[in-house]
Amino acid sequence: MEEDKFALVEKIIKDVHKVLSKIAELYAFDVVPVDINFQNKSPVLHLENCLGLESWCIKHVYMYCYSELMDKYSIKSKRKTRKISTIDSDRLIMLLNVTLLLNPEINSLWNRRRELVLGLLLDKTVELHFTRLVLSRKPKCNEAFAYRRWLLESIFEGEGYIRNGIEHLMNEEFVVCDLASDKSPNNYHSWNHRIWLLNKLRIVSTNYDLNALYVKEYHASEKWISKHVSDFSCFHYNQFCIKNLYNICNDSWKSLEKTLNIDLRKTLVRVLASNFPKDVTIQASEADLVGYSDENLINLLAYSNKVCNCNVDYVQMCRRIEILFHALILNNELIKFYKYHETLWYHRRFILHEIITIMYDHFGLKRDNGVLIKKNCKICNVDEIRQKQPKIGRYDSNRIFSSVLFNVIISHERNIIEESRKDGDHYADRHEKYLKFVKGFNNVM
Amino acid sequence: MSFKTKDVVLSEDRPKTLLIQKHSDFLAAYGLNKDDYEFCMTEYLRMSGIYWSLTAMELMDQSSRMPKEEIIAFITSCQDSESGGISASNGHDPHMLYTLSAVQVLAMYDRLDAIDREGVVRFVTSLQQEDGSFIGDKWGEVDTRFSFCAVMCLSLLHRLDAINVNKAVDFVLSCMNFDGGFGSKPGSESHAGLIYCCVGTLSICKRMDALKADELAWWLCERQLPSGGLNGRPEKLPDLCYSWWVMSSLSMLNRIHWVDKKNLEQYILACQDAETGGFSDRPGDITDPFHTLFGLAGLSLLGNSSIKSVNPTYCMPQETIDRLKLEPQILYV
Repeated sequence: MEEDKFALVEKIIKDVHKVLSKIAELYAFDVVPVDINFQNKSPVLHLENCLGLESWCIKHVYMYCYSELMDKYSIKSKRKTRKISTIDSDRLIMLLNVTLLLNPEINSLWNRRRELVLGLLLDKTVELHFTRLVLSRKPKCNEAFAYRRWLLESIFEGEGYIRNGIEHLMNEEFVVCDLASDKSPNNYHSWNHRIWLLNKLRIVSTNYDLNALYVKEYHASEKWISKHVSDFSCFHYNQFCIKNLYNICNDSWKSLEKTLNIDLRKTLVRVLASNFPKDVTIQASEADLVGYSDENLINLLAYSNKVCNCNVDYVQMCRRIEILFHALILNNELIKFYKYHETLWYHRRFILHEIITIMYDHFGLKRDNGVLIKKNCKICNVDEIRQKQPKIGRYDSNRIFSSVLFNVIISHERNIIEESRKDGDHYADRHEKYLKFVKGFNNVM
Repeated sequence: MSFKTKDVVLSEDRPKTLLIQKHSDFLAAYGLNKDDYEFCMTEYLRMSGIYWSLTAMELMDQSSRMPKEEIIAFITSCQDSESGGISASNGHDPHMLYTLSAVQVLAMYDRLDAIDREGVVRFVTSLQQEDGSFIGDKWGEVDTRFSFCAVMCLSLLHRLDAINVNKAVDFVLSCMNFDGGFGSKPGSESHAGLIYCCVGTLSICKRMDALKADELAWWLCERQLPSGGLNGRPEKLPDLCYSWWVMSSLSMLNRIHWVDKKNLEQYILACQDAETGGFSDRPGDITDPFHTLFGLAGLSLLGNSSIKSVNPTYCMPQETIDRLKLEPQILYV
């Protein structure tokens, strides 16, 4: 009996191996629920580029492969023999494939693969295919993502990757992330992997157009968040993308507007004009404001005496405010349409935090432990000799809180809080409390 | 018009009292069948499994039901003489996660002499990177979890001096987000489990002052759902283990009174299985040692007097921390 069982398991291992030899074509693996082996045929299924394993055989196959791996190929037994021969490695790979497909969380087994890659007994590209297969069943498996990162690191480090290669590699990686994010909502690991990838590219690549990539990824993330309003992980990624846009070049900024099919300045100006404080006499109309230079617009929104010796980059400051107001308007729409989503309100906090930080920066201040203090300019250090971080006086804080930008924001927030409250959205109350007691606007809103 | 909050509803016939004896029986019997498929599937985290079970038993004052000598011998056998690190089980590779679990278990047994302590120090030290971060093993994956494991492990051995603590702290702080929370890497999404790791690191390194305490505590309190249970990120279902990650962080921040303790206690108790014993992630699910520890530890933080006092930083009995003369920092503002 036992002999028969072992023979069957051996056959299953070989059948899986045979299917995996066409790994580049495979895109999904799963265990197919079949309780008993009533037809007496192989439980290895290969259909339409998918690999399946019938559930009745899982326990036997797993126990068999896992035991052999532990007995013959573990870190301790390996030290005795030291070198793995090619015949050994073929057997090892077959066992690793089956075991990791069934239980991809075993870090030590991924390490065996790392060793095989270093020994040139496994191919990096094939390995990327294999992990994709693992992720098709377990999209939240961090060990598989970590292994991909390790593979990519070593590909980037090697001299092997050529100019055209990297583009293909990146696209493949984005596809894997998309699939995993789609299959498993709030997928911490797939979005984290995507952030890692972009950060990595910043370091390793010299010929890849990062600005274009930032625009593309921002656009993609905007589509994601509009379709997944309770998936904060994709919103977090969108926040990462927004920050990447802060410093892109002129051409990329134009291409961003073209991609989004929107005039970002007009969007900003519209919000400004409809939220200007009523008690202040601002003569500018929406049409006038569109004609303002960057410097004039900033001076209208937040006039500040020179904080330090550095020049203010008005263009960049305007752009930052524009993209954040664009994000704010999109957030308004999503909140109004979908209602009652904590994720949307949390994202709003981020947008407001960014705008307020720009404002504080502009006035040479920062908030520390709930108190506004002077911020020393890191570049020109004019305040270096003075006493460190004195609390600011009423005069300074009045100037911020009476600035047009601040009043526009508060008026805009009041409106959405009021409207959402009418809708019965209790997150509106939370939002108000957050602004008052966490952001410290209790006395000014 | 309906609020679509993702949550569970506690049923009327849920357990409402603490079933200590049931849990002790559950843990004592857990994993006795070593040929079991389940046993094989979870062997890669065996060392942590031992830590969860033993700590839970300690908190119930029933650790004598665990096979002490067998466990100690097992840990000794899992230390890798070359790197000094400890693996989850025989045949697995040494890793930061299981090195910590092993040290925690031995600290509770007061048997740290059962391993080569200098080997552990060597292993942990070798994994610190230039930027202060820690990798989990020689293959290079960075995670704030590993920073926490490293400082906790070394502090239990009274060897925190072996690493660059300032740099370790700087790295953790570089993972802070606008909401005051932390993720696994710089720029990663805030996550209650990782917040516990980062706050814990600062508690051990006595740098709690570097936190945005009010913002962070606000975020943590918003994890509580109408059922009383806590989730780990916005719009996720409640899960019992967050009773630990969130509540221990709030304890270190000295703001545990910001959550509705009574509702949370009801939720934790509802996660018990009155038949099998043990706790699960949500009422009605299958129980396991992981959730059993965090259920008990959560109740301990809430002040349940039939459970021993737990230390919020180390997730070990306070008496062990006192015996080792460790004083992790609690925020006092």
